[in-house]
Amino acid sequence: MTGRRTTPSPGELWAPFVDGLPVDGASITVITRTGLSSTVSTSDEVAARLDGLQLELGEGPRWQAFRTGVPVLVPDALQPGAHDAWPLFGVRLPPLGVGAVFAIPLVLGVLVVGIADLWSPAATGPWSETQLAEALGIAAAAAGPSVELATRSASSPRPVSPSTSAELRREVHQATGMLVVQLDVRPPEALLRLEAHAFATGRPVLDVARDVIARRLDLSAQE
Amino acid sequence: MTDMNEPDQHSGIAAEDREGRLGRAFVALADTLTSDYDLVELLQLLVDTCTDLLDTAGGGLLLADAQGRLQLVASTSEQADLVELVQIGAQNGPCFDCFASGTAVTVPDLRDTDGRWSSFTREALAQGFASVHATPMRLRNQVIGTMNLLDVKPRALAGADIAVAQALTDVATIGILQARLLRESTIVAEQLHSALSSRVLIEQAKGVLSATTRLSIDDSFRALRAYARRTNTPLRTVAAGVVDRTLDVTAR
Repeated sequence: MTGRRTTPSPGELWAPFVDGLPVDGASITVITRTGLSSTVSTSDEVAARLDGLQLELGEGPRWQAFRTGVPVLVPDALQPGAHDAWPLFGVRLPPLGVGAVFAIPLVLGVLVVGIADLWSPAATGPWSETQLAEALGIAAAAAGPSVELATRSASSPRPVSPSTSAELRREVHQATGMLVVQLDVRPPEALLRLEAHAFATGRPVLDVARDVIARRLDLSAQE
Repeated sequence: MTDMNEPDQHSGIAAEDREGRLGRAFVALADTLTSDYDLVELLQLLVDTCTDLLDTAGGGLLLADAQGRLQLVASTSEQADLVELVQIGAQNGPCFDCFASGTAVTVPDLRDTDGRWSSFTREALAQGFASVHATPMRLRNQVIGTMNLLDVKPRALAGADIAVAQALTDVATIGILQARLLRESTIVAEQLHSALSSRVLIEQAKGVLSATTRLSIDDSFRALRAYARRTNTPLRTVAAGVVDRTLDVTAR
């Protein structure tokens, strides 16, 4: 917000969470008031998968934390009742080797601008007050740089860093555009059809999107 | 209640009456902060209230601008003399010292300043003022201005009065900083929203074009960009038209 500084790299954003807290990985997603999201930083494949799942399913601790502005801490994801708020997402955790998940709001001033999704392979004990304070502090420091990174990468014609999932989601929107033509529908319905096909075939939305773009998949043929 | 060692103090105002006035003052200040408040109106209320409650003769409120220079934002009178006096104090005077240090500066007798702030002291005495008290507008390490009270009598404000002035000033300071924070974060959030929604539109437009023309995604982008340049239209607008199916960028 003030002063000039270099745009942060994705690694600089997730590292403080993994270094300072009992977690193995983190992803950082910026979310606008209308629910548009951009994932600016992921530390590993599992974090990327957890990010993708919450996006595709539309449920998960991230959305709960974004709505309420309050951290969602699930130190034991296998405990009965742990998934009540997000059952579809919950069943995907054990196969991924995830034992605990935490969603920490990124607060800029008084606005919640995104969420840091943290994961751990085994159940951790409940967090101490010190750990929670630490998490909130790291999140507060990451909020401004995350928004800046998301804004800059969205504004640039070429993906800033091809390996970040933020850029890869461009393919979902490109595929949506193609479906607008193939199915003769407006973008919201085109996206829904893309997601429905992914859900029905058990594949990630991104994979289906790539098939559409490569003209390997024509959904109008499935009418 | 009166302390014979203090130059002058409230002696005639009953404690309950003062409490009532103080309570009403806090309510009035808090009221301006909860609705869409007007900054100048708020600061005018603050300096008028303090002047009235502390029974001083006049005052002026200085707020730092974006460059860190103190600007007079509100004063108890528009009288040019008073205005100029406070402005002098903003350059070199108790007002400026208060701002620079973040602590209150009190001058019980302007005839006894050890030669500090000669222009301010000379001008203040010439206008009939004899004492001044400057209160910082401060939250933790941030000082955003000063609230300055002047009196025609030599006078040291009582500890309770100093505390009242500081408390009222603190309410105003917190409200101002909160509003600024909200404004700044809203701007940043809006920029993000704009960037993300434009990006979504542009990517969708690439897909639409790719499906209708059989061009690759990259070539579709080039076609979009070429059209935008040729027609001097923002890329986002072109993208919106393509996705809407109302714009054909391949038409000659």
